[in-house]
Amino acid sequence: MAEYVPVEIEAKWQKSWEESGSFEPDFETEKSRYYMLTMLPYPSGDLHIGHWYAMAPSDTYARFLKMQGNEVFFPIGFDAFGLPAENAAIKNNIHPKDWTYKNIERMRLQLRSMGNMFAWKNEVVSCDPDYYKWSQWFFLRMLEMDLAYREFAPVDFCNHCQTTLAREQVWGDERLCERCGNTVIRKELNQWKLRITNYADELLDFDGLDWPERVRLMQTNWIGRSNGVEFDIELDLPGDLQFRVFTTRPDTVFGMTFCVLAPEHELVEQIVTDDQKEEVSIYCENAMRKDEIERMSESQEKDGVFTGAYAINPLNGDRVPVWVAEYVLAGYGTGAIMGVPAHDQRDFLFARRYDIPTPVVVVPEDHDQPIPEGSELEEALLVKEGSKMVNSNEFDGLVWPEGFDRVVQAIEDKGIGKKQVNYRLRDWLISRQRMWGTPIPVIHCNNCGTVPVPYEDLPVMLPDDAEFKPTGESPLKYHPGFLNTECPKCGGSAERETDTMDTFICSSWYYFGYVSPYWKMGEKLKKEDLPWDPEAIQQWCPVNQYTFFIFDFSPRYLQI
Amino acid sequence: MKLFDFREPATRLFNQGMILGEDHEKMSKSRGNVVNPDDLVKKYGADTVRCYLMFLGPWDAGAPWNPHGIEGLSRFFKGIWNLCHQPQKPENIDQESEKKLRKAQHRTLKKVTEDLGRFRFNTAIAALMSFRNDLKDHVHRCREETRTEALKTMLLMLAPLAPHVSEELWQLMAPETGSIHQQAWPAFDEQLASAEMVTLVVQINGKVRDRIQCPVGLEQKQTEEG
Repeated sequence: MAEYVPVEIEAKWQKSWEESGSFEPDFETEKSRYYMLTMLPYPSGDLHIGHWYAMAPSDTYARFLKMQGNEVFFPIGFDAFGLPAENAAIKNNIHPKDWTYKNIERMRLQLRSMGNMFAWKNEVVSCDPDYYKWSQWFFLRMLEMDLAYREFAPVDFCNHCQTTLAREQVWGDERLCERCGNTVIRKELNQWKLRITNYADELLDFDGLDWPERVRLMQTNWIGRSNGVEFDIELDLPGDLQFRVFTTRPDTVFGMTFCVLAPEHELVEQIVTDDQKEEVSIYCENAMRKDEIERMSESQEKDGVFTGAYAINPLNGDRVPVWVAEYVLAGYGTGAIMGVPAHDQRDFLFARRYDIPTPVVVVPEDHDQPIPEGSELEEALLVKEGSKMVNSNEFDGLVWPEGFDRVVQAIEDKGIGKKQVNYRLRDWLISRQRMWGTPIPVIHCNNCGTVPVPYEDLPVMLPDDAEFKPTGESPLKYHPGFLNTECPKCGGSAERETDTMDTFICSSWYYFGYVSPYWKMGEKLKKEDLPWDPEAIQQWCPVNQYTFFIFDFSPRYLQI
Repeated sequence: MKLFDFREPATRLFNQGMILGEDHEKMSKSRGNVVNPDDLVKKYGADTVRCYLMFLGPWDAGAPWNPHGIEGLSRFFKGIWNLCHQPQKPENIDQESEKKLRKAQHRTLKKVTEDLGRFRFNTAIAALMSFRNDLKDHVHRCREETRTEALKTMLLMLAPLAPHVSEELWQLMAPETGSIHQQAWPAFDEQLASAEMVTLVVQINGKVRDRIQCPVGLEQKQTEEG
C-alpha cells in the first residue's frame, strides 16, 4: 500500500490543477455565477498563519459552492503600496518597487501551497501602473464632481525628519516620532480630501443587505448621526458678540450653568479679559498640540480655563461663565457648547472640578417629587427616553420627545437657531507625503492654479530611480524628472503634486478590478472610459459573499 | 458617480475571528508566539493545516493556536487513506452494518451540507471524524457497493476542505470520472439522514423525573441546555 506523504501529492496536484486551469472561472458560463471575495493581502513577504486562517475557510466555502453547481469566481491580488516598502527602502537602500515585487513572487508561491482555487489569471497588483492609472482616473472624476478638494488640515509632523507621520508612527502619550524619537507636532498642511460626508445618510441605509449586526453598528457609530438644534448665545459684552452651539438635548437648556469654546474658537481672543489672557493663551497653545483622540478620551481629565467673559442663556436670561476647554473640538458641531452638567457626563466632570452648580432640569417621567431649585447631584442624570422637563418655566412637565420639539420651536420662533443634523463622520483626508503610493494626478501652475492631469496622460508614473534620503522625506519632491512638468492648460512650466494617495484608495475598488484586470492596458484613456469591462461587471457584481476580519478598531481610523 | 445599478459592492458579509498565539495573545515576534505555516505544511501537509485551523473553533469566534491537536487531524487523514487503500475482503456481510453505515453516511452528509453553508467548518469536520469511525466499524462487513459509496461520499465531503488528499484518493476510487473538483455535491436522503430517536431519562437528584425522546448523536451540552 502506498504511504500517505502529503507534500508529494500536494505539489503534484497543485501543478496539475494549475496546468489544466481547472479553477479559472468560465466567464461565458451558463451556470449561476457566484463571486466569493477574500481580503486583499499586503505583500509583506511572508504569508503568516493569519492569512491561512482567513483564506482556507474562504476557499472551502468557494469550493463547496462550486460543487453545488455554481460558477465560482474566487480572485486574489496584492495591496502593494504603503509604508513598509518605503521603510525597507530607506533601511536597505533598495527601491520599494523591487522590494514589493520580490515579496509578491514569494507570496504567490506560498499562496499556491495552500491549494486554494484562486483565479490567478485575474490577479491584480495595486502598484502596477495599469492598475493605479484607474485609481487616478477615479480621483479625476471626483475632482470634476467636486467630491475631491484641497484644504488646510492638521497633520502629525516631525520637525526633525521634516515629514508628515501616519498616526501609527506617533508613539505613546508623549507623542514621539518613531524614527527619531523627537516630539511630534500638529501642523496645518494643504491636503487633499474626499467629500464622503455627502454620503452619510446613504451609508446608514442598510436596506436589502445581509450584513452582521456588529458591522452595521460599527458603521452607524462611525457616521455618528445626531439630531439636534443649533442656536446662538449672546455674550454679556459690549458689541454684538455671539457664538453658535449645537446640542442634541435642547430640552435641558434650562440647566445650562456655563458655556465652553474650543481652544481654536475665533472668539476666544476677542472675549478673554485682561487678567485671564495669559492663562488662556498658554492653555490654548498646549491643547492645540494634542490630537483629537487624546482630547476626547474618556480617561482624560476634563480641564479648562475661564475666559472672564459671560454669556446669556437665551431661554431664561441666566448669566453664565464662558470657559475654554480642550474637550470641545473645533471640527465637530460648532466648536462651542452649552454646559449642562446635570445631564451630560463630560460637562458633569468639568463642573465638579470647578465647583460649577449642577441643577436638575429633566427627571424620569414617573418622578413626582418636586426638585428644589439649587439641588446638587452625586452623578450626572443621563435620562433621555421617558424624561420629563422640570424647573424649566413654561416647559415644565413636557416629556421626551415633546420637550425636544417644543424647545426647538421656541428657539426657531426667536429666530436664533434651527433644527440641525450633525455627523461625526469627516471628509477623508487622502494626502500622504509619501513616495510609495499612487501619485495624485494634478499639476500646480503659477498662472492657472491647480490643473488636473488630462485623462490621456494617465498614468502619472512613479519614477523608478528615486533616491531615498535618510530623513524619510518623499523623494518625489526632489526628483526633478517627476516634479517639473508643463501646465496642460497654458503650456508654461509647472510642478506636479507630490502627495500620493492613502492606500485605502487602491483597496477600495480592487473587487471591481478583478473581473477585468488591467482593462485597456497600455491604452490612452478618455474620460468616458470605465476602469472595467462593463459586461463582466454586469455578470459578476455585486460580490455575493465577502469574508473579512475587522481590525482592532480604534477611533483613530475615524480621523481620515 | 452612478457607475453601477447596485448600491453596495457586497451583499453578504461574514466577519471572521482572529487566530491567536498559544498563550491566547495576539501573535507577534516580540512575544515569540508566532506559528509559521510553511513549517507546518512541510511536516503535515496543507490539507491538515487547512482543516486543523478550521477545526480549532467557530470561524467567527477566532481561536488560540493549540500545538497538540494537529497530530489528531493528521491521523484522521491517514485513517481515510488506509480505508481507501485497504482491499475489500467481504467476510460475512452483515445487514445491520450495511444499514448503520448508510444511515451514518446520509446523516453526516446532511450535517456537513448544512454546516459548510453556514461557515461552521469546525462542526463539519467533527461530523466527518465521527463518520470515519463509522466506516472503520462497519465497512468490513458491508458489500463492496456500500463500501465504495460511503468512501466516495466521504471524499466528496472532504473535497472543499482538503482538496489534495481527496483528489488523490478519488483517482484511486473513481479515476474514470475525472477530477473530484469537477464533481457535483452529493444529495442526501432526508429519511435516511433523520436521526434515530432514543429515550433519555431525566433524573433530578437521583430520582427519575421524566423520559424524553431525543435524536441520537446529541452532544452533552445540547441535552443539558435542552
